[in-house]
Amino acid sequence: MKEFLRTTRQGRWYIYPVVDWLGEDELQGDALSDIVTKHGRLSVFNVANNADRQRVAVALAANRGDITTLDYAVFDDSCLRDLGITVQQTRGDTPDETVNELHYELGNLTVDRLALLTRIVYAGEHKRIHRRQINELLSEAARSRRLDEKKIKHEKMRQRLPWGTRE
Amino acid sequence: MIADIAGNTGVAGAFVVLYSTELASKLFSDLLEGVVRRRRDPLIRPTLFGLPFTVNSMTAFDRIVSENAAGWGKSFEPAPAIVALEDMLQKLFFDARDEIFEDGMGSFFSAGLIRIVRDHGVAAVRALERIISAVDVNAEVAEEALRQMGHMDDKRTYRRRLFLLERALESPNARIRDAASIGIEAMDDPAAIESLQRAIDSERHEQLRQNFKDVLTQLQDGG
Repeated sequence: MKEFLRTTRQGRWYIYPVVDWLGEDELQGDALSDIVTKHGRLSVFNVANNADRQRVAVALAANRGDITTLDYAVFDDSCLRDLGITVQQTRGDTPDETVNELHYELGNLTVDRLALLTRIVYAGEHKRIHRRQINELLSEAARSRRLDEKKIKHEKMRQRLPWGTRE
Repeated sequence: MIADIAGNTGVAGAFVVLYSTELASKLFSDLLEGVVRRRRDPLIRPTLFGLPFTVNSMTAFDRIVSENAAGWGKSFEPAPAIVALEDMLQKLFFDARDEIFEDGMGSFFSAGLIRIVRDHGVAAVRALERIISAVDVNAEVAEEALRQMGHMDDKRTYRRRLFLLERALESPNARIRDAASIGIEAMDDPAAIESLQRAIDSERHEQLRQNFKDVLTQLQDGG
């Protein structure tokens, strides 16, 4: 069984009674903003342990423009194939080559399958890494050159990080 | 002509009477310019803060107020300016209803919001408070606004933004409370410790309470 990580915004996954206009067992439609597909495919990362989770989170944080809190959900793949959702390993697009090897795409995502996937993501584990920790982890990854400076997408982020010297 | 102007700008005529002759004169000239531009090309789509606004929603009155509100805030009671800023921010919120926000990434909404707060200072933050405290506020957009208020770098509005975030911790909307804690976390100011402690004591949602506690620990540890 594989576990996949997808970044989220926790507030979109709140349920009743925290969100009082929802019925019991209902999810906010806003949760769909966290699983936006392209050509029926959704980008996720395979994480086998906490170290993987942290490394993927840092690589995804490095793809952003600002250093901020990072929320994520981890869910397993046990039901995906039964639902007709394909799981295919492809190269990721982060500044961390190791993390790029952990990238998968969930495919054949129709509206119905996406609705079911939303339930699977909801049932997963929802976590937050706070801004200060993200900042420390990013700095460490930049210093150790686990992140490829040339692959940082936002100049502001590149300039903020304390890059170690190249060996 | 005054009737023409009033017809095009709603309450602008009455509004101008409240202020000094010199300011009124400037307002009228600006008002006329706006009306003339509008007459010349009814389909004109002026660009404000890099965002497209239609003439229907961005009247000459809006434009004048947006250009002068910060100055008024220093000299007069801010109520009329805040009302106008509130309208401007409401429009920004409305336009943002279809945006999908992503943490740590800019958006049309965030760019517009930051620009308004930079241009109009505390008055804009006060107007934002009123919008966010409304029961029917769009939680997705309000959440983004609070995150941006925490991350924004602007000394002039610092205290008011922190106040806004502390107040938002008391919102009946859990998403707004969560976003307020993220904003406070970004400001990293121990002055918010008391508000956070109160929020922890009254929070019934376990995950949210834990998020607040994490932020509190950060603030207690020092910057």
